[in-house]
Amino acid sequence: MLDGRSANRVRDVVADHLMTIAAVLVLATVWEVVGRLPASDGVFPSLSAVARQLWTDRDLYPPNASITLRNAAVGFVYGNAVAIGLAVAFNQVPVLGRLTRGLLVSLYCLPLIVLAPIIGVSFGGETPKVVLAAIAVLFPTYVSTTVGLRSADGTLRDVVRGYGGGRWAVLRKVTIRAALPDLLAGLRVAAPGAILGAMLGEFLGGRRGLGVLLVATMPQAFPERLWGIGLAAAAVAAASYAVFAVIGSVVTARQQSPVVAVGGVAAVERVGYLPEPVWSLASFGLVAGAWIAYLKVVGLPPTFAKSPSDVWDYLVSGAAAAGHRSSFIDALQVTMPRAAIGLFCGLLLAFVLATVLSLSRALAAALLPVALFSQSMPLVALTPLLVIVLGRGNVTVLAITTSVTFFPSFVTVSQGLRSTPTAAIEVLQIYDASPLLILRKVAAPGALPHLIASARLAIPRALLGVILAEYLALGTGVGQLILQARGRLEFSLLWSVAAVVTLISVIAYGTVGLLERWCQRRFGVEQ
Amino acid sequence: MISRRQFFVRSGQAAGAVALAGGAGSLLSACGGSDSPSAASAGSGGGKLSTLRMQSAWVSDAEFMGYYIALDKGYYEAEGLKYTYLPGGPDVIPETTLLAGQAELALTTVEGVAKLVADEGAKLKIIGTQYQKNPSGVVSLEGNGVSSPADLIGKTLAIAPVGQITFEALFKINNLDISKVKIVPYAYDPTPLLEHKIDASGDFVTNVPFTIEEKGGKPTSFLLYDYGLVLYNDVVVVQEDYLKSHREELVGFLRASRKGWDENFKDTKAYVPLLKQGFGKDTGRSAANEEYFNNAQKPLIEHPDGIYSMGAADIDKNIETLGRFGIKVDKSLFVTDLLDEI
Repeated sequence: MLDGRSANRVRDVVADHLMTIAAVLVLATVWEVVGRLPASDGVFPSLSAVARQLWTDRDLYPPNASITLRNAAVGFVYGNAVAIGLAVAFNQVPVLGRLTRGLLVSLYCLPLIVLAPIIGVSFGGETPKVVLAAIAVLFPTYVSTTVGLRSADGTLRDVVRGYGGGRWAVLRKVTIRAALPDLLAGLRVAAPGAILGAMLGEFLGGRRGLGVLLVATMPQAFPERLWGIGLAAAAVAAASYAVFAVIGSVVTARQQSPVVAVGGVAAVERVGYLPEPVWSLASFGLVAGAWIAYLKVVGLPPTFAKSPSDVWDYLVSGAAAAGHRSSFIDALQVTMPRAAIGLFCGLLLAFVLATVLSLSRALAAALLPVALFSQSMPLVALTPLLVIVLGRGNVTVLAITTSVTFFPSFVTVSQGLRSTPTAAIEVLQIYDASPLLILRKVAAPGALPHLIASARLAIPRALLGVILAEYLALGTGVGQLILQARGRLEFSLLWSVAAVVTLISVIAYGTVGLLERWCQRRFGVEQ
Repeated sequence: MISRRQFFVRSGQAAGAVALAGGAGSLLSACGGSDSPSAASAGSGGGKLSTLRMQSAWVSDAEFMGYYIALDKGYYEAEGLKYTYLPGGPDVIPETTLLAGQAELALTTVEGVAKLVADEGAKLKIIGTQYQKNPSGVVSLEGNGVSSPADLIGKTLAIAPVGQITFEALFKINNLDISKVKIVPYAYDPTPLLEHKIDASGDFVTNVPFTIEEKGGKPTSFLLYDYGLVLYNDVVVVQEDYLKSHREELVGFLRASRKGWDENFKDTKAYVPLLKQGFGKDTGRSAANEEYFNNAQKPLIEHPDGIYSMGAADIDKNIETLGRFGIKVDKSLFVTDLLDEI
């Protein structure tokens, strides 16, 4: 697969599909066997039992899945439209992009378990579900579009300019066309996110929807149906993934090989002549301003909608602030090491698997359905079952955190391996190098920057994954703070958790960005 | 189903005030509740209907039977109300829906309301209570040896976020040390209990024991109420301003809802099909589960002076219990005179 010659294309496609089908069959067999083990009784039913339940419930799914799909689709359209619009606008006016980047990153880093109730009371009807689906796709699409827009060939740009084309002509004729493959790869990854976002929204209430069905099913100790709902959600997500994969392959077949990097937006682009701390301060101010403006515009009352000054008061200047701070420090001391270990495991797994699988296109195609499936299962519903198998300890935290960080990193690193310069490979091939040697000498070092780029997107996810596990299973760390805040209606605490978690994620995001820039210079990989 | 209902309501309109008098109830009962605005706004021969949106605390199940029946039978329309039932869920904090102006009424816990009033100065009033006795309790299995709060010492107890305050209070009131109980998060799924991964869970005693029995387990349970936690639940909450300006509508709501509940408790099985064909149509919960729930909640809801009543002695006990949580409120939180006007 390290060569891009189109002669092998047809054969590759056939092999992909055969391997995908084979992989699904293997997965189904493993599921069936494990499900029939006595130890799985009451927790992990066999696939045939889940399938039987799906058939029994056949009248239950159309009304529930259709409303979830509708909300996810509307959110997907709005979220992506905003993301693409912003990416194009910021590509034309980089200063705007630099200024608002902190805001977009903050939105991505906000813990959804804290955000959901706020979105819920901000709008009526189905809107909160649409908004949550839109937020889930916004940042990934923005990043992949930005990468795509930057990947435009400089020579083509110069040609258009040379014939008198202006900034917009370049955008229309070169940049947008070049961005299309990356954009489509981004949409592919975003689609399952939209479904999960909409389902999370249904935890805010609703008459029907897969999320509502999930909530109603949980008290029934009904794992057959619970896994059935997960399977249905995964099927819907996989279908939307497939649609964009097909569109993507049609588009890229007509174009040169894409350099897709979902996480590969340049971390520190030089804009204007302002020093970095000034930008950081401006971003910080903009986030605080947007926060205050949101509360004002939506009209949320201060009884529960806390402003930045309330959080400052709670954590810094208030009479009880010292006590609040120490409980935060205690919680973070539990949560942060877990997040770091989870991040490390997720990235390592992504790098090793992507590297190994780059040696075989067929194996890569086989793993994709498994990886996609793992991304589409609603963790909120399956955590109680996971706990039974893995216990209420660090193993569960690690499993959840690895699972939420692995997939995006895997996609990014795989694309990085694929984008290895053909010339470099051909040089080694002339010298009769083995695929393994090519991998070691060229592909793996080339993919390292992609790994670091993906780490940036993975850090907030790792932190949120740990918090989710703590919130749902362990009752410790930052997750416990959220439980306490939600349970005792301590809204200042709730908003403080959101602010602190977001701040930590944004700082980590920026730090990895610096590392990424260093790495790009060191390994001479152009963006 | 909605179109059928619209058809009936429209033909009811044409037939005059039949729907208003509630006479169309038998026609409508087969069709379930409807959240269709056109259905809800139809009817009223006289003036315009007043909008009344109620944020519920949970997904549609037997806990809210009275409202589905009142809606279906046209009791709200008869009171001049365009009533909308908003289903809840685990991420819904009904008090905030109310304060954000997304609903005029909310069903929620008395401790949540009291906390917001005492700590945040929220201007909320309780105008009635659905549950005289809070259905919250401890659910366990026979053989786990959990039949009172003291038995929980040294055991693993799963509680949901919303139960946090009440359980802290439970241990305090019973002079027990909560740090000797291993408390883990609860997601309303009894599987960990059935698999012996936890010893007990904090949940409504009206619901989960059914599932446990169905799975072949032998459930045991006790109410927190019986161990000193004298608290209402699913209290009807409104904003103070709304109470001042829409008093009549609220009395109408209480009257119509009480009628719905009275109808429900005449026969706890009779209206389960209505739930299963209406709001609970797509939740996948069995009719037998809903019947169990409805039957179990009857003694917790009924009151000699009528459903929603708040007796002076009970209010005092609630205030005293809240005081033990460290939540200081006075009688003015509970507004009883609307109930007198029913």
